Amino acid sequence: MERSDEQLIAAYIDGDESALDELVRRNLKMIFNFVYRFVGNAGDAEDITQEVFVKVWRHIKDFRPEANFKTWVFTIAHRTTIDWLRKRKRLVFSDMNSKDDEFVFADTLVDTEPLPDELFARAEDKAFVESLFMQLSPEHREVLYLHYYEGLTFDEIGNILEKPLNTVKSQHRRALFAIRKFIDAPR
Amino acid sequence: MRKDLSVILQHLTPVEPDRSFCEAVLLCVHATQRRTARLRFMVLGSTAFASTLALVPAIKFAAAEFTQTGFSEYLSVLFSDGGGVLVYWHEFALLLAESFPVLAITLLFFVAFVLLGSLRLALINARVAFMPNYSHN
Repeated sequence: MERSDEQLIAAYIDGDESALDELVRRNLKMIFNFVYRFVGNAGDAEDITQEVFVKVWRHIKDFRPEANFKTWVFTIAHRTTIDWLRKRKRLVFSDMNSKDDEFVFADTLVDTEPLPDELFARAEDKAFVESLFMQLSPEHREVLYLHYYEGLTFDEIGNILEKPLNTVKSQHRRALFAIRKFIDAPR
Repeated sequence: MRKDLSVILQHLTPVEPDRSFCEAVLLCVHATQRRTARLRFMVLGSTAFASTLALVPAIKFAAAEFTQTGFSEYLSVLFSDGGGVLVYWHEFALLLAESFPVLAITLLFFVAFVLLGSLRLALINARVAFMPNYSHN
């Protein structure tokens, strides 16, 4: 029977060296994709992902057995990516904090308002979806990716991004607004 | 979760990292493990060496204190006049307790503890630091 991530960590701490290898192999693609969606560059994503797993090893004994590994490793990945981008001065404060006045309207949107039909018509065009996604700001990409691709709740995303629940929900609404804006923009 | 957005974002293709990337990450993690283990081995090894050197004066100090406080003399009475000790066991016990060289013994135990502890940890780190390269399955 396949061991869970939490069991692999416990096994590694108990002295099973191969458990760490299995943990890395199992979660590498997930973390790589998360980082890639954040930075938009495969080469940088590889460097950051490598650093993430070195940090996972360094802090493995700090992992509480009752915690969720996925949330924990995404938190490390998020922090590592932010630090990496800041060191290379590729992240300015404004990238992570959208201008308030632009999104005041977004926060009044009812979350259940449907997206334009045009979006569904073009959804099967993978290049279009990729382009649409990468048009969003890094903070919006993070929230949408973790919620819709990894299936995490807003509460879990808040813990990963170290933001209050309402802020995460607000960023989700703003991401929807940005998607609509992108669709409606004149070509 | 909005089902409409879920449908759209499902078309995001997961990006496959390079085939050799996984092995590169594992090599990096193992190299970091070995580097950290080597550093710890050096520090712990130095601590074990220093505490070995400190053990000799600690033993000498403890032996001197045992003599100076009279503890060893009182203890020898136990073997030479057991009957008398038994009669006045309460006073004898108090005498032993008062003359016991607490500081010297504490110092000796501390040095021995540091020596054994650092030796044990140094050996554990030596295994990681100097073992052959991992073979990935």
